[in-house]
Amino acid sequence: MGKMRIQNNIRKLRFNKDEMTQQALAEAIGVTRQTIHHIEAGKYSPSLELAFKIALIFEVPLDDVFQYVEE
Amino acid sequence: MTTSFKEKSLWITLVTTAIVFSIYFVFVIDAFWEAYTTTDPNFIKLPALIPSFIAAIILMVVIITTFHIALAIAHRKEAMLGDDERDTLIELKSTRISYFILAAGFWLSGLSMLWLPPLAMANILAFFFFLAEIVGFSSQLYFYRKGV
Repeated sequence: MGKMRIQNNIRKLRFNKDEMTQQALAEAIGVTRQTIHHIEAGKYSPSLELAFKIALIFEVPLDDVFQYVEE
Repeated sequence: MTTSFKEKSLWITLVTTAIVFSIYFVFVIDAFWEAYTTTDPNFIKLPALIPSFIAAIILMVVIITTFHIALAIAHRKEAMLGDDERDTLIELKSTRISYFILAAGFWLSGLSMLWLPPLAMANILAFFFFLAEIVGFSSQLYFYRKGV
């Protein structure tokens, strides 16, 4: 197995959910907008709890939001 | 990306700490230098270091508090929001970096007791304490920008 990284579809999921803003998502899960920005950009890997909260907001399974892929 | 409330708060603390303690340590170096070279019997710079240190601390607290009040008024919503998990992680990582500097300073100031007076030792310890603080704030700012 080569080097792995976590990628996400949050930007796409936000767009599909009535163009939800980063701020609205941040408020819904109790973090700052900057944290959402860093998660989306792949600069921060959230805790499992936060990842589940994001999946709950979009009403999709966790692996529709985050994927563990080879670089 | 815009600068967050947390980053602005860190910048205030970092710049204030750096300025106030740079001035203080210039005074310290000057006082010790003069103490070893002067022949003036009324030389009072060394005893004045302790009140200067207290004044520096008070000045720093006043400046930081004033700027933070203004910042909180300007960013009322963000100021009410506590730390999230990313903030906590960044703080922990930075504290770890600061700890090594403080630990090095602690041992160095202990060793300096062998050939320097206690007032110099106390100032070496204070120097490393503020250096650790400055490195800690700087690393937090780095992690906020570059990711953690």
